Amino acid sequence: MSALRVVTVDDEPLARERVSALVRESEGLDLIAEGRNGLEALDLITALDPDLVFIDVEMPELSGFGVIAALDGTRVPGVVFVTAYEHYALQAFEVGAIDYLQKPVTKQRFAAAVHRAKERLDRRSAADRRSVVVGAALAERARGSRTRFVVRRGNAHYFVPVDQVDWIDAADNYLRLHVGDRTHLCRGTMKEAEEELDAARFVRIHRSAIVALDRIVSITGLEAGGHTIELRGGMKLRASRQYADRVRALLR
Amino acid sequence: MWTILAWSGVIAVGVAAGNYAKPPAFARGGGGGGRLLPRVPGPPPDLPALLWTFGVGSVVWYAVILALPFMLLAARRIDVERIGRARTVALIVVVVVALIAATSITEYFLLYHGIQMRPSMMNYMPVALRQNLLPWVAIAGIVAAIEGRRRSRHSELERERLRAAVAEQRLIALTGQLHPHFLFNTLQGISTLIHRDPEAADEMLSKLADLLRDLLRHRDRVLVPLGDEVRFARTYLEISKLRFADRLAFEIDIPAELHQASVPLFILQPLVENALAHGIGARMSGGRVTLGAQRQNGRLHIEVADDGAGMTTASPREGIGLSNTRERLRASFGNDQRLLIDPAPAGGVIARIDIPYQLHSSAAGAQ
Repeated sequence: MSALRVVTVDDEPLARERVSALVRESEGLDLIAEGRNGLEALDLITALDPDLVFIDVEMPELSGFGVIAALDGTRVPGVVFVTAYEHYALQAFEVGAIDYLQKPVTKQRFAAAVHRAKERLDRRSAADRRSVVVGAALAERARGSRTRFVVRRGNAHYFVPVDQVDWIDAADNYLRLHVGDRTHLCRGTMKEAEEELDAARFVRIHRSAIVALDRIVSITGLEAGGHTIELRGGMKLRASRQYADRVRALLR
Repeated sequence: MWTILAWSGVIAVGVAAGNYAKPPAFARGGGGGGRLLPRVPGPPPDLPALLWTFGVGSVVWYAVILALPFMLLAARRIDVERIGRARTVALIVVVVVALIAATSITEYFLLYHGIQMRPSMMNYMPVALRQNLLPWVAIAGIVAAIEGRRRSRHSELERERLRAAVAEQRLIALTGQLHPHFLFNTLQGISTLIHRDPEAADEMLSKLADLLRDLLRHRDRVLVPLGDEVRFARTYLEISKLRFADRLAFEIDIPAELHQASVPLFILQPLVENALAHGIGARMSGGRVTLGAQRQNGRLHIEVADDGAGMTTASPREGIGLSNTRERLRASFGNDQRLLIDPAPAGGVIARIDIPYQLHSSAAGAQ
C-alpha cells in the first residue's frame, strides 16, 4: 500500500507544527501540505486531493466543519478533526469523521487515529463520502447563522459575504449568487439557504429565488396573485403566488 | 391553615360553652350504654339556652374565627424592619383594642335588640370589654406565633439562598476566567515546543503556572486591586501571543498609580477573551488588543479594544461571558456602574467599564 497523502490544518502554528511532526514520524503517511486557515485548507484539498486531512475545528472565518461542508462531494478525503473542545469531538463523530483528536494530541492517540484511518479509508463508499459533506454542513449550521458563502473558481476558493448578495436563484444542486453584475456558484439548496440566512435580511419569493430585502426598489401586485419585484439596478423578479404571503408581509 | 381554623373553632365552642351555657340537661339513655345524644322522641330540653349560647352569646368567637385569616394575611404584610419593633407592638395593641371595642358594641346591640329592660351602654361596656379581652388576645397570640414561625423559616431559607448565590457567583467568576479550550490549546503548544525548543516550552509552562496560581489565589475575594487583574490579563495575552505567533499584538496602557484601584475579581478577563475571539479568532490576518484605564472625577474608566471583525461575529458563548461580567459589576456597585460594548471607530469592538474609583483595602494595609 502506498503512503497516505496527508494535509494538516490549524490556525495556531504550534498546534499545526505538532500534528505535522507526528505525521512525519508516522510510517505510511506522507505530509504533502499544511494549511494555516480554512480557506487555504479548501484550496489545498481541492488542488491536491489528499487521502487524509487532520483539521482543527475552531478556525477564523471558516471552521473545520465549514471546510468539509464546502468540498465537492465526489472527492472527499478521510477527515480527522483535531479540537480542544469536547463538544466538537462529539459532533465530529456525528459528521462521520474517521476520528477526532483532543488537544493536546498525544503520540499514542495519534497512532490510534492513523491506524483507524488506514483501516477505514479503503472501505469508504461514495455514499460515505457524501454523507461526511452533508454532516459537516449540518454541524457548521449548528454553529450559527451564515455570514458568508464559499465559492469556488478552479481550485481556488473565495468568500462572498452575505451582505454583498443581491439575490439568489437555484440551479440543480447549486445556488447562483448574484452580486452586482457577477454571479457565483455555490453548493447548496434553496431550503438550506433559506434556513441559514437571516430572515430579517432575506426573503424567499419563489421556489427558486431569494432576495435581499434592502435591494428591493418596488413591489407590484399581479392580477394572477403573484408580485413583480424590482431590484436596485433594474432587475425584475417574479414572486409566485405560493410565496405571496411573505411578500405581502413586506408591504406592511 | 384549615387545621388552625378548625382548632380555633374547637376552642371557641369550648370556651363559649364554658362561659355562657347553663349546663344543658342532656337526657341519658336509660341503660343505653351512656350515649351522649338526646333521646330521639321528645324535644331536646332547654333548646333556647343552647341556641343562645351558640348564637348570640358567642358573637365574639365567631368574630375571632372570621378575623383569623385576615389577621394572618395582615401579619404577613407587616414590615417590621421598616416601621420598627416598638411601632409594630403599638400597632398590634391598637388593632386588638379596636377589635375588642367593636365586638363589645356589636354584642350590646345584638343581645338587647328589641328588649326594653336593657342596661345602659356605660354599665354594659366594662363587663363586655373584660369578657372579650381573652378571645382577642388569645387569637393575636396565635397569629403572632404562626407568623413568627413562618418568618424564621423564611429567613433561614433566604440565608441559605444567599449563601448559594454567593457560592455560585464565585464559581461563575472562576470558571468564567479560563475556558478549557484555552488550557488545552496552551498545553498543545507546550507539547509542541518540548520537542523543538525546550527553553520556550519552559517559558510557556511557567506562564501557565502563573496564571493558574493567580486563579487559585483570589478565589475567596470579591474585590481585588486592578494591578492583579492587569497582571492576569498580561500573562493571558502573552500565552496567547505564543500560541498565535505573529497574528497577535497587544498593548497595555494602564498607569501604575491606578494599580491600587479596587475592581471586582476577574472583571477584565472576559473582556480580554472577547477581544481575542473577535480580533484574532475571527480573522486570518490577526489583530491587536489594547487595554487602557483612566481615573476621572472619582470614576475609574477601563477600556478593552480590538481591531477585529466587529460585532457581527459575536457568538452565544461570548454573550454568557459578558453577562457574567455585568452581573458581577452589579453585585459590587449596584446601579452605579456601566459596561458598554460598542463598535470601535476604526473597526472592531470597544468594551468600556465605568465604576466608582476606590482605593483597594490592600493599599491601606488592611488586608
